Amino acid sequence: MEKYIVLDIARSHVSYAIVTEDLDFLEKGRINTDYHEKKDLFDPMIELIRRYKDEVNGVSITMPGVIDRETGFAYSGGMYNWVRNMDYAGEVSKRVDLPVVICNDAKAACMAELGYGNLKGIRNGLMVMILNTGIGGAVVADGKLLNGEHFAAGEFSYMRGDYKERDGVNDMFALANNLDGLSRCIEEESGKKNMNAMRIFAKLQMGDEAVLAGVRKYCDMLATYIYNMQCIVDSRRVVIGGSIADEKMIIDLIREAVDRKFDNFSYQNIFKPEIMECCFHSNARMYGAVYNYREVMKNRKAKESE
Amino acid sequence: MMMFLAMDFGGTFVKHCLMDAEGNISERGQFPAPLSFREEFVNAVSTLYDRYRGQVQGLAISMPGVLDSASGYAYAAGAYSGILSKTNIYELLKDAVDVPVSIENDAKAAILAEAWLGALKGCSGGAAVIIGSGLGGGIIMDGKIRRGSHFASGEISGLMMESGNFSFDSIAGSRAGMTGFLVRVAQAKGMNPADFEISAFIQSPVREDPTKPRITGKEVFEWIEAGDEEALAAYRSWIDDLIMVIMNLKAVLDPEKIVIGGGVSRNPRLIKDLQEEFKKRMEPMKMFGMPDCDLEACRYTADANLAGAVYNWMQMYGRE
Repeated sequence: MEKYIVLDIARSHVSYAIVTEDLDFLEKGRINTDYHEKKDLFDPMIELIRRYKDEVNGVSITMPGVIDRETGFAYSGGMYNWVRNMDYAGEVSKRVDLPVVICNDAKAACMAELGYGNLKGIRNGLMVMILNTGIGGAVVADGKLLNGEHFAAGEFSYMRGDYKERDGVNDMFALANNLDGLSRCIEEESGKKNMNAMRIFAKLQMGDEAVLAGVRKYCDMLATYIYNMQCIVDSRRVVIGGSIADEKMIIDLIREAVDRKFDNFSYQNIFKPEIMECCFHSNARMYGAVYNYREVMKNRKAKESE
Repeated sequence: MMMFLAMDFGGTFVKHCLMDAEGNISERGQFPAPLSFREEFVNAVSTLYDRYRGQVQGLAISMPGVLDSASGYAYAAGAYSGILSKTNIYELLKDAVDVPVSIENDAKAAILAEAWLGALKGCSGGAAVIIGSGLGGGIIMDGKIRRGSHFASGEISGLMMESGNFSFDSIAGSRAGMTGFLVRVAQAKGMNPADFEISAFIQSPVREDPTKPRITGKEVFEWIEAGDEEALAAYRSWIDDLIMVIMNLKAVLDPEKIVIGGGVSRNPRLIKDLQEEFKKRMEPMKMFGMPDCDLEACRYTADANLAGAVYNWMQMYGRE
């Protein structure tokens, strides 16, 4: 059975795990790193991989940035501003003498759903990840993750949603429906300030009507964007990810809002997708890393045999 | 070289021609649309096919409706719905035509023509915005049209432009097509929308003088060129709507290129203004690493449906 070392690179640390192709986690850990210069990250990371060199078949990395997951080339790297048009996977591979693949971290979370979770077996689907600062996600087209021309397909943050405010920035999906957007809706409806996700869930559980009205307002906006994505993609299922997807009640409220939108809209040629929560939470990116590794290797083998 | 009989079933006429595998056209013709009986439709195809029997290796059809090209099933068929809805077209034509038959939705065929020989040629991922009376669209991936789970992928006409508005006024098809544009110009100038060349579906006041020719998009563009401020304001707000549609396509799909089609896309001013506005809107997003995307006019004007039908045939039967 194949084994991989998967690494999830974040701002101040790298989480890693040794995972089998059957998704069993044999070992898990994290090392602290810095991000200012290449060696701050590369030196400790390379040392870590070398420690497991004889145990694993390959390396799969997830990180922020615009990345060509087929070739391992990184166009940019989020806060790692030294990552600019570099053969990232190639450089790591040379130093550890193992096959290395990389992909964007949000896309990895989507690939976990596509490979092993709630998008498995779905030919046309969408993943919408509600994040602190924006909306991430992915499009599954004909059973495959859609890369787009510049690996930016599924960057839903940039969608525009409302005609009235089109000149401002408020009608951008990122700002309307990120977690701040949720707090804003609740403040508008209930007057309660600085509500974080935990406190919102608690209030919902207690049956706070004003908070519920705020969440409904937020879900109605979210449903508009889901409807608009559906005009373009025509998917069977939309999977909701991000920390708010942990709360079943929110998923139910999103589903109700999507029902309201699709059932009452006068244009009836767009099909209502099924709304589901994501399957994987804390380890999503690592599962996705396994899927990405296996897919990329499969594609490379297919190309070689051609 | 292979030769095909291509037929484009429109609401008024059926256009047909012979086309080779490089898109060269010969022997054009047209006849009135056979809309009344199913037998009339079969006879029309059969009569025309008999004329070219032995000369052609395939029959490629473009028609309106929700069509499953793979199986031949028509869920709906636009103007032909009365006679062809919920019918398998391949079964229907089985006895009349003894070469492989293909059907494709006419808007999708027009976009396939761009992918074959037009502005989307060689493009791995592209999207088309077709400005007709309403708005049409389609998505090309790896040279093929994307259909989605219910044949509704690329249905940009339905895009909701106003979050809380559930009426038809809110959809891109109402706002961003020619009708949406002309109605806006009429409102800006305090004129009767019914005096403009708008879709018959729009309810508007009765015309005072029905004999007066309707005002066309071409005339409105002349007003704009002459510096008519009301018309220009309406034009600007129409451009904003089109940009919103384009931005949504861009964010979801990250295509290499988005092409603009429909009669009005031949107006160089429109394409230039769209390109400028799009560039302006993209600027702040580039800071966050949002990549660029080309925006240009479709290359095909006439014959797009016929060419796309043939390209669809070649894709279906594997002889590209």
